[in-house]
This record gives sequence, structure tokens and C-alpha cells, in this order.
Amino acid sequence: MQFNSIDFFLFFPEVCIVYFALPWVKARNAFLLCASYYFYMNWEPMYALLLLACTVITYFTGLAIERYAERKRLWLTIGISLNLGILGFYKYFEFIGENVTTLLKAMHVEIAMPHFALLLPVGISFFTFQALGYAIDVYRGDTSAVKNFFRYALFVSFFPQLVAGPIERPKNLLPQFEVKHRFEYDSVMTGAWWMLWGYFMKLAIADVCGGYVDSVYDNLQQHNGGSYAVAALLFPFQIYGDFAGYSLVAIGAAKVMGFNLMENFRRPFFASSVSEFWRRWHISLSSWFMDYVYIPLGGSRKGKTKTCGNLIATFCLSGLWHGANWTFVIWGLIHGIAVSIEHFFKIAKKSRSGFSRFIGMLITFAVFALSMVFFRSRNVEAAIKVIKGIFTNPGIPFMGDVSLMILPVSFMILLIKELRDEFSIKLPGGTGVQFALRHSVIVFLISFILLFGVLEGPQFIYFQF
Amino acid sequence: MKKFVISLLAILIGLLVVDRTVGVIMDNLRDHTMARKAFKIRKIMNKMDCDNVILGTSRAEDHFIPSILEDSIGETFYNAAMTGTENIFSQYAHLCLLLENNCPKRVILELSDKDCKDNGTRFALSHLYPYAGINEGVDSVLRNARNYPLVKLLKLYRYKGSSISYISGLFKDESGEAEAGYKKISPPVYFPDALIWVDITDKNDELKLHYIEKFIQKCREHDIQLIFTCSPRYRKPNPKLLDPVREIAEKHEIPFFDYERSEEFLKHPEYFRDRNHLWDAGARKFTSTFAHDLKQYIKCDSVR
Repeated sequence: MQFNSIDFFLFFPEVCIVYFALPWVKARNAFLLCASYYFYMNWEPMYALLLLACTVITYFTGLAIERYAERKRLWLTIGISLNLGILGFYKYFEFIGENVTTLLKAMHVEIAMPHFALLLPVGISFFTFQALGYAIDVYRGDTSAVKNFFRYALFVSFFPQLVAGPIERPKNLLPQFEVKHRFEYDSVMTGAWWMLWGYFMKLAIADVCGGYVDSVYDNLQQHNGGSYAVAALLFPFQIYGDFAGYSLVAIGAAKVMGFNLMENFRRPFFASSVSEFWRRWHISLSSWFMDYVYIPLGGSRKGKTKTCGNLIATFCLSGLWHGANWTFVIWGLIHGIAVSIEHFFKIAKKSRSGFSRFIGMLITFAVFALSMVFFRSRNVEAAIKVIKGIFTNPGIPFMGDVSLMILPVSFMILLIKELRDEFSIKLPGGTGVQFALRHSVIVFLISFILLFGVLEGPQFIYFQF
Repeated sequence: MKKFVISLLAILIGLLVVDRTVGVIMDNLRDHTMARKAFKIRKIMNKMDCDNVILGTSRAEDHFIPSILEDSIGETFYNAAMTGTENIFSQYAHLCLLLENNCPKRVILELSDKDCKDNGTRFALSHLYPYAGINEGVDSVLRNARNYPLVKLLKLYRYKGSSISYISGLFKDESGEAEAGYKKISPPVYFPDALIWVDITDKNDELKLHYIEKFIQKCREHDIQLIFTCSPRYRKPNPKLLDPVREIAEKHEIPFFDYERSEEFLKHPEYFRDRNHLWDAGARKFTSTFAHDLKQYIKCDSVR
């Protein structure tokens, strides 16, 4: 079930009403668990078994680690291997097969790898990583193993963040399933406000940009360098609107029910260095990689060269997490190299203000936009064709659909909101004025989305990961 | 809870006011804009005195040049096809709008696999939402879609796919009136390369086939001669793809001009903008071919 579908608009209020009507925490959790599985099974019922398998494996891994402390490393290895095995089979089998075949072919060995034509289960990378984080935290003693299977199952499958994060940490989310959340005006309104902004970002920005970006990237033959450049500039906004929009809907939906999920995006285009960008972009994933990959690799404790190596390795892995394609590895590599350079020359640590900060923002955006050409392209050749085309085949860009005309207005609205959040600007006036202003903005945003948004557009991009 | 109810009420009342106000403005824009689809729909809804009307999607809009057909056949033609009006549901609604005030001699309907196969693009009908409640034929099509209640309820939603084009049509004449509805396409940066095989589902969509039958019935009721066409594409032809349409055409004795397998075009990628669309040079070549065939058909038909 997609967040931008009529089904979800019916599903979510119904879940909230029943959730708040149930008097006991256990009943609420049981209901949320059923609702979450129902939500997931709307894509492909059979894949709920994978979600269940991931849950069962990490649940017992957690218990075994705590019970047999002397062999906890072994249990963790088994748990991680099984989980990554499932993820690897569904996500990377074809990729590995293709690359092995190509490699062997180069060595004049002909071998036919089996082909399973698997459909990637929605959100498998997200819930697998969340569950792995739990197992590692239990191993490290950062959290204790959950005894109640159903509560743990809800932690893995909680529907607002199940398919595209934020990848939650057990310490934050698990305790919230023990509390009876009350229907509170402030929570509900804040959550609804975030959801509304999320929908605005997805429907009035991401999907509008997407119309242009898709028509260029899907028909590279038909376009010149001018169109490539516009598409390359629009795609960062598309993916930001799409993913940050999804995250806001997810965090907002949870907030309506009284749950606090972690922040996933903090106005990343205000970052003046790539390192800062990664403290603002997909925070839950970057902090996951920081805690469970970068630091165990040695972090920044073993000298500059080793640190740079660790950074590049972590970013390449992060790229591979996104998808089984060399384009994602190169995407990670670009960020890894950029962050390493900043670390090596201590660029990120210099505090900037005014004009130099603005220049930093532009450079950071340029690096991000360049990396996103690889992220969006079908293969490395296509990405190179786009980059090459921008410089060697200039021309008047294709004008795109007339709906693009609304983008400057949408960008302006978003910019006002981002500036207000970045500099914590409070709404003017007393309570009455603020009430009127806030509600007027809500009415305006709903009307804007209805009138100019792409309401029957594609699913969220990150669902495919 | 009381505070929440007050908030909810304030939002609902605000939305209602905005919705009705925007509705009035948009209704007015719909009737005056020179945006392409709105203009074409307005044109076919009003009295237009045209012998032949061409219906279909972008492939028809980009491929049939009325002036060539007029020169060859000696009758008037209007290309009422519209880009993005994905399938037979839209075409049936357009026919209903056309028949409100017109009764052309002939309707030429461009068909493709999207009009008979289950390809998941059933109800891409947003360009018709502004006409909900105006024409029963349009409403009968819209009722098939799940969001019909929303279309009826909210004016904002009704204009969601059209608002920007309506506004842009106030400043720029995009009606295509000078070319009688034909959309002239410029050549591509690169012509399509090798002919490829495109996988398309074999599964027929029974509702779409039902609407083709309804389309035929409607034309019969108004004594309109119906002609099916399938213009060229640059892909490996799949002879079975349009079998359901062919069967219906045979059953109802409707001429079906199928150019999808025509060597005349399959050997000439330079006629194509992309795999599905001819550019202007290709459209001229195709229309001339079609005009010749249609003329022959009309001649034979009149002898019969």
C-alpha cells in the first residue's frame, strides 16, 4: 500500500480510530502488528513471509546472544549471515551472477548462471537493516533482548517506517511500544502537519520533477545536453522531495499515534560540505553505517589514510545497499572520495558563514547532483553519456510537460518552509493569529496539492530499495 | 478532543470555500483557454460541420494531417485526437462529447494494444474530470474509476490535471487550429536504431473490448461510418497483438487499416521520432498512404 494511494487515505484514519479506541497497550500492539502486516501484504502477500523470517531470525538471535553470552559472537554471526543471506539472494544474486559470468567469459570460461527472475520485496533493505541493528545492539549490550515476540515483530514491521525507514534503533522505538499513547491535540496536529508537508514534497515537487527527469533519462537518445543538464539538476530535488517527503509522512503518521521516530532529513541542501550533507541526508541510514560499519572498521582512530579508506569503503557499501548495480557503487565512491578529501584537508571542520558558506553549498550541491546522475542512470554507460552530453552536446533543453510551470512556485513554498525551519523563525502574533495562520497554510497546502500535485503518480523511489 | 474538532471544522470550511471559489474560476477558464485538450474538447462539443473526425491518442494526433486528407478525398477532416488520452475509455467519452452537437459522416479511430490489452493503464482520464456532470457518456466512463466520488465532490480534484495547462493556454494559443488539430512533431536528435521486440501482455482486457463494442454501437445509432486504423510503429511487429480488435472489426464489418507491419515504414527509421511516433516527414508520408487507401476504400464502398 502506497502512502500516496486512496487505500492509505482510508487505511490510516481507520487504524488511528481503532488504535486509540483500544484500552490496553497489548491489544493496541497486537492491532498495530496486524495492521502493519496487512499494510505490507498489500504489495505481495507472499513477501510477508520474508518479513516474518527476518523477524524470527533476529528475535532468536537476540535471545541466544543474551542466553549464551560465551558464544554470543557465533550467534551474532549466524543471525547476520542468515539475514544478509536472504537480502543477498533477493537483491544481489542476479548482480553477482552477471558479474561472475562476465568475469569468467573474459577468462574464456562459459558458464550459465541460474536465473530466478525474482521481484525485489518492497523495503527489504530497510527492515533487514533495522533488524540487524537490533541484533548488533543486543550483542554490544546496548539494548536487552526482547522477550515478547509480538512486541519485537511490531518493532520490525511498524507500518509507518516499514518500507522506507527511518531505520529505527531499538533504544528509541522499542520502549514506545510499552507506553499507552493518549490522543493528544498537539501530537495529532504536529503529525498531520508533517504528513501534509511530506505529501506536498512528494506530489507537488518530486513527481512534477519526475515527469521531466523520467522523460529524459528513459529516452536519452531523444535529448541533447541541455535536457541532460536540466534533468541532472532536477533529479536531486526529485529524490529529495520523494524521500524526505516519504520520511515526513512516515514520521508524521507515527506522531499522530503518539510515536516519535528519528529525524531522517534536516534540510540537506543547506549543507556547505559533503560531510555536513551526510549529517542532514538520510540520517537514519548514514548513522547506521557510521555505528555498525565505519566505527567497527576503525573509524578515524588509525590515521588519516586509514580513515579515508574506511570512509570510502563505508560509502561504497552504502551505495551497494541502495541497489545491485555498479552505478550505486560509483555513487557511493563519489561521496566517499568527497568526504575523504574534506577529512584529509580538514575542510568540513572549518566553520563558514556568509558568502563562503553559500559557495560551499553550491559545491556540495554540484557534487551531489553529479553523483545522482549515476544513481538515476540505468547503467554506467548511460551515466557517462549524460555527463559527456552535458559538455559536448549542448542545446536548447526540451520544454517538458506544461505541469513543470508550477515548479518555481512549489520551490518557493518549500524554500520558505526550509528557511523557517533552518533559522527557527516563529510564527508572528498571538494564539488566535497563529491558529488562523496555521490553518490557512494547511488549507492552502491541501488545495495546492489537489490542484497542482501529481496525485496518481508513481510510487516512492526508495520503496525499490 | 474539542480543540481537534474545532481545527478539523476550520480546515473543512476553509477547504470548501477555496474549492468552490477555484471551481468557479476553473469552470470559466475551461471554457476560454486555448490549451490544446480543452480547446479540442470544446471544438468537438460545439457544432463544427466536419465530414470526418479522427479520434485517438498522441499517435493519431501526430500522424494524421487533415490538409493532406482533404486534398485527396475532397471532404473536411478534423484531427480530434489528444496526447495522453491513453485508451478506448477516453475515446468513447470523446465520441459522446462529439455527438452532443455533431454527426460526422465518418469517424476514424486509431487503435493500439492499449485499447484491448490489460496493461494497467485503464483509467488515466484526468483530462475528462472537468467535464464530469456535463455529459452522461463522460460520466459513464468516469464511473468505472475508483476516484469518481472525489471527482464529483471536489472541484479542486476535478481540475488537478488540467489547471496549469488551462492557465498557460490563456497566454499562448496551443489549440492547433491552424493545422485542424494535427500536431507537427520535429525530428529527433537521433533516429531509433534497431527494430526491437517489445513484450506486451497477451491478456485481453474485457472491459476495453466491451467499450470498443459500445463505440461501434454508438456510431451505428448515429449512422456514422466507423474506420479503425493502426498507424506505423518502429518495433518488431507482433501480428497477434491486435487480434481482438481485428475480430471485432470483422464481426461488425468495420474496415481496419493496419500499417503496423508495413514495410514502407519498418525499413525507414528516419520517419520516426521514437518507436511509437512519426515526426512530421513520416506523418506526411503516412497520411498520403492512408489517404490513398481510404480513397480506394470509399470508391469501392460507394460501388457496393
